[in-house]
Amino acid sequence: MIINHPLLGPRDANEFIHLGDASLINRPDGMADDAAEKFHDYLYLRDNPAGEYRELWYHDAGDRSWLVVTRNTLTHEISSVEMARDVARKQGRSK
Amino acid sequence: MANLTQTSSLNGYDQPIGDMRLREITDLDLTSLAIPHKGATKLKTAIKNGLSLSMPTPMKSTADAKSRLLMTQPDQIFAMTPRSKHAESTIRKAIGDTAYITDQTDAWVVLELSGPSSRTALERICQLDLHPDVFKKNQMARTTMEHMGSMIIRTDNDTFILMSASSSAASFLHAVEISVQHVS
Repeated sequence: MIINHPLLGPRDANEFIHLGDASLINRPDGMADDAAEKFHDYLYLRDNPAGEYRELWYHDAGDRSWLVVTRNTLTHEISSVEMARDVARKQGRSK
Repeated sequence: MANLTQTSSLNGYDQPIGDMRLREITDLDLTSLAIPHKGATKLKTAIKNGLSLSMPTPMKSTADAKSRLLMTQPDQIFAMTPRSKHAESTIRKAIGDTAYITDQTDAWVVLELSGPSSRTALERICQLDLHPDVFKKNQMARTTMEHMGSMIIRTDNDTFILMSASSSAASFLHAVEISVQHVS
């Protein structure tokens, strides 16, 4: 499988480590009143879609960046690759 | 007091193999420059003034006859400059406090592979497309070779610099050497 890195171009998937659902970048507030429940959902509840799926990949053997990859779980076709940093910033997070 | 002699990771390995030459490069200071938050413009000016080089971009290194700069990851530059007594203070003298500097000289082993068959030898261990139309002069990449994290830079049409962790320098040399031997 080839992942088309937004900065570095097409790279073999063996340069990357797969983490899981892209929602993992939305870490709940640990100080909130309902933190226990929020963290339970954050850690354990996953959708398992047959089709388009957004997931986190880490370019371990490359530039060490985190990516949000949109992949079709039925065909493995990758329709979009974004820097996780940009995705978080678009949501108003980070600096 | 004990009298210690400094040695490099591969004792200055240098061998002609077929039409190629594989050698260890030992006369470089290696430093990592982390760019402070919103400090890219300042560092760019400091690099221009202190090292007479322009800022590298992803995959594209900048170089003159003595020094080379790589962009190793977002907000991080890797500097290869002539060997001095103390890498960190030498680079700090050149760019001041415009980056967080870490001496990496002992952390990497640097090999240079040159000669007409270099690309043929490298295609056995490097999964990237190294055709000169795609991977041009001064282009660089971080990747893996034989499962070892490495960097590759094309410094000329048939010349490549290969870098990997000095802790596995012998294994890295072995991998490259075998590939070179198999095509010569």
